[in-house]
Amino acid sequence: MSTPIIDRIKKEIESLDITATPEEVGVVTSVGDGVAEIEGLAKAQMMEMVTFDTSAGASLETTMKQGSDLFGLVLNLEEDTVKVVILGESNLIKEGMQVRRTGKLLSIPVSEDIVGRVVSPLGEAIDGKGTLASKRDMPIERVAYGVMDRSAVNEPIHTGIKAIDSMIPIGRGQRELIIGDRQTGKTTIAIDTIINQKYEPKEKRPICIYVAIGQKRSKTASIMAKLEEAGALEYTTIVATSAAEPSPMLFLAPFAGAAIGEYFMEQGKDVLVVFDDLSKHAVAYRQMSLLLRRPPGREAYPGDIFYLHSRLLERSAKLSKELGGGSITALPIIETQEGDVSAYIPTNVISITDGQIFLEGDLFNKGIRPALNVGISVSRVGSSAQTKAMKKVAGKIRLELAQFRELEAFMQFASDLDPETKARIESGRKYVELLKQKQGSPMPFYKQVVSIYGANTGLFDAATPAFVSKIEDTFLAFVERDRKEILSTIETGRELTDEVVAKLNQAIVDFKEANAELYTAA
Amino acid sequence: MKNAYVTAITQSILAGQSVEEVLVRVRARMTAHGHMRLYSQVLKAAARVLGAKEKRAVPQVTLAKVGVVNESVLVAAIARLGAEGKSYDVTVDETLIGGFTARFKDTLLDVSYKRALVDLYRKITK
Repeated sequence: MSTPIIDRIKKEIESLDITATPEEVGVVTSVGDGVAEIEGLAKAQMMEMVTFDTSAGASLETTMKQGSDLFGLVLNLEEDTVKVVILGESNLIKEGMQVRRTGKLLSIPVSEDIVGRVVSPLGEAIDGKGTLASKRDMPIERVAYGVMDRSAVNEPIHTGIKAIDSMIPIGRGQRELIIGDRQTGKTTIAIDTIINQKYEPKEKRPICIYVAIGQKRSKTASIMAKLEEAGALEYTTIVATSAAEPSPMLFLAPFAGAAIGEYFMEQGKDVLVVFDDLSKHAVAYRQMSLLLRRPPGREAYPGDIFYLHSRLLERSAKLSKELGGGSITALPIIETQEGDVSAYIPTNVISITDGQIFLEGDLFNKGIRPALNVGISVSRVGSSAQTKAMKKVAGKIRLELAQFRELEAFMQFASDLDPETKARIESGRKYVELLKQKQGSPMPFYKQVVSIYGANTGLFDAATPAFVSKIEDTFLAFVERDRKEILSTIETGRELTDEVVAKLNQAIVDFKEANAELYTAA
Repeated sequence: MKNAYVTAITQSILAGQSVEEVLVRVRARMTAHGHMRLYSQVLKAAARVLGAKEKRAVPQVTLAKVGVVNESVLVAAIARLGAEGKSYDVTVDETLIGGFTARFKDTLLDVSYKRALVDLYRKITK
């Protein structure tokens, strides 16, 4: 009888090498709360994987049934012992158990197959769609690329959200923080950004990685369903950890996301990584550090919590042309308590990132969604990556909104205001309405340009703010149906040429003529 | 707290001080600080650590069955681990199926059939 399986076994037996080499081993002296103290392993390295010999005294059959080895991660190197966090079921570990060094730093197996899948921080598929092939082991921890290996951020990554793409543009290779209280739409912005990448041409479309750190499993499942429904899962990988998992898994998740990202970046591809969220990551690291008996500092976080987040976020980069020109754009998320951005972890991450998108609960409750506070949201490097077309139209919107914010306080005295101030307030309110966007409906940048250009050149002049949204939708449908060349020219050229401007102006005049009822109703 | 006392006791004894003298001093110290409730736990842990250290100082050989491995092979294996002399402790573990494991201090040589078969199984089923 000859089957592929038997052939494979025969081949393996022929090449079997049973000449063993001496290995360095240690003994578990104490274990508890997912942390084991091991005597021996004098040559162990920081972040090295060790295997626990759970099969001692067990029969061959039982050992084979156990499946893979139980791994630990070396995190504390002490005088006579090492402390190891257990990456798995810690109740299998007993005092006196033998532990072997592997000589390998913790790494995650990656290949192109990982795209479109849900994986654990150790790279195992957890979506029930079968095992994943491995092409390369990417180290979970590594030194970020240096200055000479990088190039300036010069290409935009479109979020599909008008307020962000116009006023807080993000570039490929940038780290833009999304910060705000709970239930203010932080994850929604990140997910909309992932969905919006489907409008990018395939060769320019970034690989997206969503890292769920300590999220409810139901939330991760609904995000997966949303991405699948929008057709975005085919270019997205989800690294999922739930709140029920041990803290080392939560600690590893964002590093695993960065490692997967680096695999694609080194092939010259663009990658977008969402870390949802680093507040929970900091809490998991605090828990782990306290169990490892590291000295606590402010708010009981360990002293290296800043270093932890900075070395993670430094790994997002725009590589130089010589290194393939790939990039990792990071969108870390931070949850604040009662809007307090001056707490320990928020200030740390604000200072590490290249800007922040600040979401406010008050704006959210007023019905302004995304609840973006454009006053304190910034992007430090993104403007150099903004498309020319967007740059041209976005200048006015920023100015109009700044003036509106100054005059907003006088709105309650509307009857006593002079006509010019009244007009400015009215115009500001229309811009606020224009920037409102529904969840899960990101807008491609060329449509945003058309929409904002229309607002700047009087598309909403005779309308009331309540009708802005309807007029915008109808106008975009009109342009898409009757003046498609305008959209395609902006999409490909990414510029507002005089010719396009003339066509747009004509389209606005024609639209107003054809849809007079929209304005009279207003 | 407990670990600090255990370390103090084991290091003093390993440095050559008399056991009696060390215990008297530790007892006095613990009484002065009101830590006597930990005394029995400290002694148990110290005995375990010292016992493990003593065990590790002698090469340990585990066989699947007595007499199936040639003595010269075992001596050579122990020598590979850096142990001098021919003395070693032998234990029997039938689950090894065949071959043997030898351990000296923090180094292990595992030439058991069980390990080879488990490695082969994992390689094939990966």
